[in-house]
Amino acid sequence: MEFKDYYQMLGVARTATADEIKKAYRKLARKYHPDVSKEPNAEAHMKDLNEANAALSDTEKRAAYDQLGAGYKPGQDFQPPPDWDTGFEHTGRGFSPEDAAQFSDFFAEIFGRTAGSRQTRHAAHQAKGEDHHAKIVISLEDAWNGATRQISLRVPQVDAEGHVSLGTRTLNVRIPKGVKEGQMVRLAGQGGAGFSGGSPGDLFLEIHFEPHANFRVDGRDLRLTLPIAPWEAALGATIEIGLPGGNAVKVRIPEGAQSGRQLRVKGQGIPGEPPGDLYLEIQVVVPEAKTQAAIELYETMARELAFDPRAGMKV
Amino acid sequence: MMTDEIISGVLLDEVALTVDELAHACAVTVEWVSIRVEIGALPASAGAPAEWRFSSRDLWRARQLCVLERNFDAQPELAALVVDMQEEIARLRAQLGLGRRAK
Repeated sequence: MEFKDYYQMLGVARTATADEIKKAYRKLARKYHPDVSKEPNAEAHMKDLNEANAALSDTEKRAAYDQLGAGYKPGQDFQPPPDWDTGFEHTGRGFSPEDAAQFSDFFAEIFGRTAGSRQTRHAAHQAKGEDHHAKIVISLEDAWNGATRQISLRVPQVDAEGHVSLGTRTLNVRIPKGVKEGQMVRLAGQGGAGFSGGSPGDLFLEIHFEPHANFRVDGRDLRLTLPIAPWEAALGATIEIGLPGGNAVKVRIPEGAQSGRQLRVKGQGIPGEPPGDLYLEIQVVVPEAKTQAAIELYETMARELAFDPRAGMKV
Repeated sequence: MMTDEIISGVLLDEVALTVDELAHACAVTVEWVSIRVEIGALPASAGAPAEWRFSSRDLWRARQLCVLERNFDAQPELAALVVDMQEEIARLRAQLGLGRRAK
């Protein structure tokens, strides 16, 4: 495991005040925020910054990190000595399940050990366990038909002595049919353990779709750019379109269709209540004149159709 | 830890969250949610908090608000503005994706 220099990540001295750390984090968070940053690997940078900030903005974590990290250089092989945290008094703010999922093994190794007393916060009275959150990426086909997916979550696990290590929890989850991009699936009772006999928390899975080669998704609506031949556009045609669910739909292209025109096929988007629609954007594709026959066909069209596509323009 | 059990999920928008459930999912108090509803940072129907129901999108918004307020000491109104802009960016990016694909 490589040592991470959180001070270097935030560009501050080891003697920096809490205010200096806060300012440095905010400045860099604006620079690397994935929504606005043009920097390469902005998302990875942002993750590092969040991790560094989580470690250094908390007094207890910072003290533990300073003691443990003295003498280490970034990237250097790192193994914390056994029971290094003996003598630290922790209020229980170790790391959350979300931190565990997002942050590095280095972070989890150090601060996981301090998280045990989280369990004691609610020990005096019965309380529901913490809700956990995770993201899952599925295919459009899975959204269409529903699917069972195995997911692995990194979760802190508490041993009998209250020490926490990072474990992997594997769940087989049935994703309901008709799920939308960004929608949450709630898995009751799959979150953190309850306190003093309280019920366990829930696990919320945020659903995202893998990019599809042909279809774009907008809620339950599907959008497809549909290439058609000039004669299909001019004369009209019936075209069969294979949908992500495995079925196909026949669509009538009206005669005289032009590039850019949109057709809506009601109810043929992602299934659900109500189902989405399928939107087709027509794109007329012109064959190349590669053979003598093709050249003659184009020349005949030029002669016979007297067509000026720029008739309405003053160019 | 491994299990062969298959766990069925419930789509959140088919079963909306109550204010207590939203607060618990974000590890905040009901009062925290009520204040965000009051200032319009989170949508809620008219009526008492016990009648409010929240969707997937609302849960996503609430969690973004939590992060912004915590990491930037942002005022709730300012955090709400940032979340509005994040949603707008996501919408425009989706449109841009459509535009690129249409070329």
